[in-house]
Amino acid sequence: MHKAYFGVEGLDRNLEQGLSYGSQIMVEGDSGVGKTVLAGEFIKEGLRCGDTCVYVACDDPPVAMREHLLNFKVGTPAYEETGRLVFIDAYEEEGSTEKYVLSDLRHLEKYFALESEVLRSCSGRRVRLVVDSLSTLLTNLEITDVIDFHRTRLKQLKKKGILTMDIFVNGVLEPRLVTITSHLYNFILKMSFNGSRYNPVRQMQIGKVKSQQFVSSTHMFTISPIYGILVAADTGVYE
Amino acid sequence: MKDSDITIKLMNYMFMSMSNAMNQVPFSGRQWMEQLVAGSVQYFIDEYWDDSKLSSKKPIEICRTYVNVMDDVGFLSANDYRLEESGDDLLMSVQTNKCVYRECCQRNGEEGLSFKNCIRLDTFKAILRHVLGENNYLASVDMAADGFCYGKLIPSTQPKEEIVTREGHIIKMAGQRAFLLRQKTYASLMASIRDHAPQILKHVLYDAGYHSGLSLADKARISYLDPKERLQLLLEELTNLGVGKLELVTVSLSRAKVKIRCYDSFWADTANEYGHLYRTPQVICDMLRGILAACLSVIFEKEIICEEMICQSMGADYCEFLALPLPQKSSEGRKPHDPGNE
Repeated sequence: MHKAYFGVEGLDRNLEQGLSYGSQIMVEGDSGVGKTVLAGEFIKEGLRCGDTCVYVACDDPPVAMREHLLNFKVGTPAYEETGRLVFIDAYEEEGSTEKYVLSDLRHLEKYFALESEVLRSCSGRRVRLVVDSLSTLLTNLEITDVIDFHRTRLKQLKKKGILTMDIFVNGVLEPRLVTITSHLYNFILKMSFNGSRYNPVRQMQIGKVKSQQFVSSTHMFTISPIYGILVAADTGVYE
Repeated sequence: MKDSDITIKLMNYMFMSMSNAMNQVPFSGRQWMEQLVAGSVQYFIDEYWDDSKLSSKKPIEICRTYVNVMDDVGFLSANDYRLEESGDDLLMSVQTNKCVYRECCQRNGEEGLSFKNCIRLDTFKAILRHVLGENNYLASVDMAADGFCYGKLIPSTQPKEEIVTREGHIIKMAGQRAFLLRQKTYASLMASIRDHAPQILKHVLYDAGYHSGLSLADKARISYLDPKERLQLLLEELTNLGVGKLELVTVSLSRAKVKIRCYDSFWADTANEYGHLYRTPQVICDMLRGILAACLSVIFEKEIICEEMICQSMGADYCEFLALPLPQKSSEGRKPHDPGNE
């Protein structure tokens, strides 16, 4: 059975068995901590492994991720031309030149329909889906609607074997909603700033929800403009 | 001299045998083939050539005179050969069935030899060198469907990549010092980099490939070939260097879009033989990806980015690369995604 990794050495080293396709990853983190960079690494790794990658851009136009990948020498034109890299524009609404555009951010069913349409076009392939950030789509919605949407969507994605990474920005959603939502994922990664105000340190915490057990390890990391996320795995604090 | 003359047949057999042998030489086979032809031309020169017969030292005059001398001794008919100048290039055409070397060329083609020298063009190179001194020409020939062979000699100042020479204990490749490395040693070198700094491995390989590709592609920049011919030439050079057998699948000159296949890639073979460097099966020929990106960027005179779409190390029959121009950035000078903008 093919296993998947993030493409971040210090993080992958902690996932001996890797992730199976159909897993759902929740990435939760402070604003500016590096969630989109992690998403870029995840896509880069997927493309190298032969996966088809779907990126839903909610907080920036798709061109931001395209340029980010190009800066890391990922030839997005080749992958887009062959349908291996697909962008859904959930940022611009009006005036987007993308093939797939979410015209109305306030209706989750429209998003669900668009996501399903794109994934249908990728059937028969190994797919990675990244929603950056899902919390933007869930803002100002009723908690029951959000949980219903979430449950149905994740069930569908698991059934289709889609490796999903949903990104949540800290402080955007109600803490209770985040707690309930997090139970629906089988892998959780928390990214935060730590250290002093004048010397903030980036940190990531791996949490895995499985059979009521929560195993976590915390690692400091930095972001290199050449290599992307560099985890100081060996200085990790194991809890 | 009649076509059926056994002497012609025996001469063709000798050249076929030499071509076969030179195709098995790991380096410089084409060069040694040229040397063998030049050696035989030298014997002819010593006996029959007279510099005073030359009306000028223009390459076209030298080659015409050479053909005429060959005619005088009854080896060929000078009227069968048409020689023209095109800029600095020298063009030659001959009806294929009138060329005394046709059997050698046809049989070499049928046997699928990786390089196929045109003996006639090699003799022109030899006489040009004799009269003009050291010179370097790139030769290309097309055995066309209209029954003619169209040959071209293109002046080049660049040393050939594949020429490996030994000066005492020093080995040189294209005039630069080199040493031979076994695949196993290369594999252990890569494994060491991975163990000490795994995050840099792909970048090191891509960048190393890109820089070496730039120097290789410089040769194509100065020649008078069209972009597709330049690309074919570079792919042939790379094949001769041992990276794998490269094949141009499709090329769109207007879009600068190129699809290239590599059979038996050195890197894929190394992974299959000595173990994979990464956790999951994935495309691994980053060095070749960099070489191709650099070569194509020089050929198309714009920045090209190349991706390996499938890899023989993942079980495919070949590695396949797709190259396209680097898109214009929406804001020039933008740095890698600023996480602060999330």
